[in-house]
Amino acid sequence: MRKAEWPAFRISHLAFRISAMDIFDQLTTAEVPPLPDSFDGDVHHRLNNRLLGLHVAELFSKAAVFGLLHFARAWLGLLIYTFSGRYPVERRTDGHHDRRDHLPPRS
Amino acid sequence: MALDLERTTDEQLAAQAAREGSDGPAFVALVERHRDRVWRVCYRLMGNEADAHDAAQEVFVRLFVHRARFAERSKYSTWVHGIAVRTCLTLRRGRGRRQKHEAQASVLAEQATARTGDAPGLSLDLAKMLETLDEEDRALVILKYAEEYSYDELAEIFDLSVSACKMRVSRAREKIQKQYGEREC
Repeated sequence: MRKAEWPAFRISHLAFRISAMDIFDQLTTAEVPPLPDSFDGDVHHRLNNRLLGLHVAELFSKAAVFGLLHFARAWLGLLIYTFSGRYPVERRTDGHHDRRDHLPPRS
Repeated sequence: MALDLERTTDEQLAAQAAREGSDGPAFVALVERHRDRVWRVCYRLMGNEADAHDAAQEVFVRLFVHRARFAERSKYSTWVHGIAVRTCLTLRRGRGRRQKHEAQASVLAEQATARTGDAPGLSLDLAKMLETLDEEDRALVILKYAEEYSYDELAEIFDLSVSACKMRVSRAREKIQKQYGEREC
């Protein structure tokens, strides 16, 4: 009795396989709409915006590093002046002396 | 020296584009050559026109930003399609909430077509079946069957071995066949 059901099962299984194959065939025949006319302009516009963003980000990141380095010296000087009473002065290498080096420390 | 854009290969144009400061003639020529195929890939992977438009634009923006990274290890077209696939996969993964809304919309559309008995119901079934696959497997199946990519190309695009590509496509097919059969039962 069970064996008699086998061919029906095999046929239905085969039918599933064929319908699945047909499904994959649909992928090939499925239509793709044409490229929008505004595509090139949109790409150009988006690219400009992205580049503007990247350049602004680059500018700020570099400016931030420069600013940190620049103001770090001033902060360091402030700290040294607070604790020692003297502001660190760079030694000149051209033979001239900075006049402030000869000033007595503040009382 | 001016390039003869029509006779120049993609790889030569890519080298020229890498030297250009902005989207100059070489990059524009590359966009013209590849936009149709990129659009097809994006449309197939994204599933609708609006998302495909967004994805295809993003592909060319990324192509420009990373234009100096092309190392000629593969064909330029394969490299472009790899960027297109990765961009689409990233956008699809990121759109989470929208997918829910789209699923609801597709159910409504399916009901509408079921009422009218139009043929597009079949393609909705297909889209739904493909949605059950993993994102990469879905992309592999679509590129293999819809765009007729070879396994070698797929292997380069997905950074897999050829045998791994074959196995994943085969497993995806089996999964769909199994689910399709179960639903019909």
